[in-house]
Amino acid sequence: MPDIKCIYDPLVELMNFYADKKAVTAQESAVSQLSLEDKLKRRIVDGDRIGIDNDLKKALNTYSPLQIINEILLDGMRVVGELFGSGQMQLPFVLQSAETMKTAVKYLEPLMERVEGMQKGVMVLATVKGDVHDIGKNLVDIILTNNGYKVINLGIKVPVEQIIEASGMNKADAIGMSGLLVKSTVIMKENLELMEQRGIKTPVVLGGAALTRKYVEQDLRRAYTGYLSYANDAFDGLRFMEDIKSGKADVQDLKRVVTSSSSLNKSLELNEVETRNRKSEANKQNLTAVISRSKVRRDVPVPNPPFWGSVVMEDLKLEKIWEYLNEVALIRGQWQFSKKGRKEDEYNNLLETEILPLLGRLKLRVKREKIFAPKVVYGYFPCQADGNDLILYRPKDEEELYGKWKSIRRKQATGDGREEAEPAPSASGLPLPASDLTEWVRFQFPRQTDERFLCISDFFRSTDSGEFDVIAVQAVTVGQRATQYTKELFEAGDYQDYLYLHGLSVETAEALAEYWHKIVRTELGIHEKDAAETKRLFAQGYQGSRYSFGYPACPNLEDQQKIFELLKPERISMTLTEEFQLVPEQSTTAIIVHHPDAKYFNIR
Amino acid sequence: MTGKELLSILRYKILVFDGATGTSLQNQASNPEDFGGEDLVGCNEYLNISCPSAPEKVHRSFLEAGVDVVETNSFGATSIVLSEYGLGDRAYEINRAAAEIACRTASGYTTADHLRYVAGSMGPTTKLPSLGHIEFDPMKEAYKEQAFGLIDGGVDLLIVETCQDLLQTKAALAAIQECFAEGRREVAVIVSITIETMGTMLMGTEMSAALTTIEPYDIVTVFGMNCATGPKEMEENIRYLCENSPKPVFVMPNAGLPENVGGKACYHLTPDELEFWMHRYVTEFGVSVIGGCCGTTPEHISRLVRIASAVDPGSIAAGGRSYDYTPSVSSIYSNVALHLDPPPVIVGERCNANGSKKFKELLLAEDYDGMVQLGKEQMKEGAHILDLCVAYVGRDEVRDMIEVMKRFNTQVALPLMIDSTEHRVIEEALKRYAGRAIVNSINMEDGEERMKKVLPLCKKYGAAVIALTIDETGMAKTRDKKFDVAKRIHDIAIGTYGMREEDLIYDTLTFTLGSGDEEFRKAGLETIEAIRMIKAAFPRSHTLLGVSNASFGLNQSARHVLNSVFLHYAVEAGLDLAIVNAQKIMPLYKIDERGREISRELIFDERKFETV
Repeated sequence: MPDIKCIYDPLVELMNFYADKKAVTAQESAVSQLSLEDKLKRRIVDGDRIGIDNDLKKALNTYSPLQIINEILLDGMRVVGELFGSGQMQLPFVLQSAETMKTAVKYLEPLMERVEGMQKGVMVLATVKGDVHDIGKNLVDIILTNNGYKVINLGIKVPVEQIIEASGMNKADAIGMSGLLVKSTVIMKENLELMEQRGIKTPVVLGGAALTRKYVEQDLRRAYTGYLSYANDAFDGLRFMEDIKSGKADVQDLKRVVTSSSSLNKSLELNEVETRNRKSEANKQNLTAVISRSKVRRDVPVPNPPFWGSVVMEDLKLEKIWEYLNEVALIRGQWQFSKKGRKEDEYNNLLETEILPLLGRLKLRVKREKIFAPKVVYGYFPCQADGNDLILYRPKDEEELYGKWKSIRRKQATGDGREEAEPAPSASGLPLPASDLTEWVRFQFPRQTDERFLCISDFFRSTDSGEFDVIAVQAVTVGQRATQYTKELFEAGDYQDYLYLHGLSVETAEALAEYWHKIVRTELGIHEKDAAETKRLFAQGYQGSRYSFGYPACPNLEDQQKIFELLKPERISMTLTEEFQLVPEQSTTAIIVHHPDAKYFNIR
Repeated sequence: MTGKELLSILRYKILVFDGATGTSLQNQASNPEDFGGEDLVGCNEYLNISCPSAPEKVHRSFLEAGVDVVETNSFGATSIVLSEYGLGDRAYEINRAAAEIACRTASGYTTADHLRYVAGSMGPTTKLPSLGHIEFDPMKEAYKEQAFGLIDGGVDLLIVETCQDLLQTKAALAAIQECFAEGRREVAVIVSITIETMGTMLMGTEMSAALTTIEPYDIVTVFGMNCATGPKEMEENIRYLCENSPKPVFVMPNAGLPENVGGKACYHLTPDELEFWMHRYVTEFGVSVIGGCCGTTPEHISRLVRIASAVDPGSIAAGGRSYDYTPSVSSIYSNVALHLDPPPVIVGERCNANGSKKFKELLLAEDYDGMVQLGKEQMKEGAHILDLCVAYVGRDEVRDMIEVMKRFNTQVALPLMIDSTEHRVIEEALKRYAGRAIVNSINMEDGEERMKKVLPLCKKYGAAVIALTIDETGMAKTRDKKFDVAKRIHDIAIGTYGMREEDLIYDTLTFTLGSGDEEFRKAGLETIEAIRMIKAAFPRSHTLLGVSNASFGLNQSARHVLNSVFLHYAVEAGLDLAIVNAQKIMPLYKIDERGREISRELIFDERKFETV
């Protein structure tokens, strides 16, 4: 039998072929081949904190804790800032990175010697007086804190005195003021003026939805001699601190003094323009004096409300409310998953695989842990227009107010009007003879100075007509626990959850307002024109309009007090701050107008 | 009525269930005396004892409307709910009374032309086991007591309804199976889940996941949905069921979405509207059993009777519905088919204390959350299913499995493969898993011994199972031997234990090609050919392979390439699932041509020889 000899063995061939080659695989190679420094940096960018302790431990063989933070991790944060700024990274992922940073700093902190200069700088940070919106301010806190700065976060509705005091006590390097309302920009200006009077020169950074760079750099810089800067986002706040600590701010400050002298002329020009504007304003005023009413129809039928006075609604079902949830506002607005820098299908994929499932889980959590307790007070009141004013009436007799009015309430508000309402007690639909009514609350609405000369009061029967009209008023809230819960998340460092839940709570309050507006329309029998698609309701796809104070057609926040007089929302644990802000934060109030021509409009 | 009898009835008629029991009862009994005292107001189930005329009147109202089936007044009559009224020890009595009242009333309406049936209602209780509110065993015991009472009281069938957590449903089904096993009369069972307005069950379960989980249960004859929304909102899910479910479809909507005004739920769907939607679902989609849930009155129900009576036997509704069911497994949230296109289904291998160093370290540190994290990472890496093994020398595997499963059940969205050699561990895991798991594994090392312990568990909890081609003589090496072992397992598992062909996943095992040992030169080829033979003989079954074994002993770079090429040829032969590290598998085009060719030669043993 002949011997058989193997002359080619694929096994030997394979072993030889790959003897020197490094494993090349799809993605794993990229990460495993990274240097330790890059791996740590990558962890910050990816927000990957599980197991970071091991990498940090290894890094400690080469670097001091402070070096790791300043030279490696902060570099990662810088990348995060750039990605965020260019729209390539969404806010929730930024927060994940911040949480990772925090984990790393927490690990390294006990190992650091308390040496001078370890702290990079101190900022006193506050949402200004009269404003409760703090999400932006808290983002600044997160980003600064996790980048080695100390932040004294004074919270919301902070009076300027407190800011000044905290700044002195903590030897702050900078002051940060934030606020969402238009009114807050005025408060910021007042604050700066007062600080100027006191000779304070601490650098100040301002941020907030209603602020613009132009307003800060042109108008507000005139009010304050200290270094003043505008922050478009939290990373601008970080750059601001870096500029201050590196001395760049001083240079810019100098530059600014130079430019401001040249802009002196400009501001003179500006004054002229302003004067001109004022003149034309005066003309308009005259015109308005003549035109005291728009051409709005006065003969539309007045609906019959199912009851007069106000009632409290509790134990509302969240699923029902969430049918009116504006997901676009939630996802792109509150959560800031913007489409910017993403292809359509990429964004849809993100939406399908991450964002919507996230929303589902979040809703479940809210329900399970009973985080929201939605409540409503609403009611219907007889009213008449008197020029620009709108008068709401009540029974002369105090007893009537809470006795008879309540009893007129129909047995069960059904929401679709199918169940018979109890007949109204008088032919005009009025709860009492007109002679038994007396003026209760008077709203004064502004009138447009051109275009259509609109004013909210025009949508109602006037005192001259002798007829009465009806207005609905509502106050809705998702409850105090939502505020408390989100605050705890923030304090525990769960920034991402904080952002998600805070956003959902704000939009749930909006959804509740939308939902209740629908019930009001149904009860008034004016729901025929309601858009079939919920989405279109957000664009006023219905008869009439819902106006909240602080918006163009009814700008006076002070009028919140009148709503409190009408509805007594204390019954659902709602209160009003000195600056007429609602507490809990996730609450809204509104007046509801039934007139078919009533829509949003601007007052110029 | 047995399941078979129910099926044969559904071949010629649409079965109509009754309407709202709870709301109707509130109208019958309103004062504390009816309820048997101030403390018991609101405990509708106690009316069976304190005021039997109330449930009887409700039954009558629906029987007069012409329904085929009335539900007993026992929705909340488990000891779990009753103990909230201090009636925990009277569950059997209350259920039995509920059944007797319904049977008595229904028989008064039964004629030769129109048989009336009674369904024993088993509600979801007030606890969610997946959230740890209650353990599986006590919940199962409570359901068992209820089922005993209902069956002894004479019901024709049982309906596990308004299910919110699949683990709760599984507890009820385990209870019913035990009742039958203990000699109680076997009756047909209907399972009906509740899809909330958000589009999933309360626990986040999608309809497809629920169907996947309940479908393997033989005792369940009819599957569907009830409550939470009106018929309109159910459309998408009804369509899904009718297109996919092998079991006849049950639909019982509310009278619209409840409007919660003034603290009271109001339902506004008119009988006309209900008739419109349900007519469509019956005639166009092929729904077989219909009824009304919250807010539906005898007037609503009479419309359903009208729909049923007008349906032409032999039409789509009377059994002619065609469906396409893909055997799948599922987590509590969503399902994964056992065959994907393109194949394979990737089974992540890293949550294994014997295979992954990282997982082992996490286990030893009892860092259970870290273990969850590793599971989630594998999802990101592209795994479709996760193998989970916590066996480690010197540790209490039962305890570890319980701790890990409690978390994996709700925190990992992928279906799990429960990997253990201990049947006790397997059962504790299955009891804590809401979805449909795969059990890893059975073999014939000790003859039928292991199948005897494991397959009844698979049946009881509806799991799929992996069968290794190992027999009394050890791991099968040749294709014929592998096929013979697979065939033996196939015959016994199906013949003796009632498994179905599609529930079985064969692992044809492979040996390393890296040793150069003459005995194993053809190991890869034999494995691949065995896959081909099994798929040809049992086309509905599935195959699986731990691919990386093929390259054991080689260096990392050679392993990645050989594994990838081997997987390619196995898939070509019909492999459905592969246990791999998803990140270490490359598509063929990414491998250099020479490496690819050498690997192919190695797998097919294309050595060249010369005669000396």
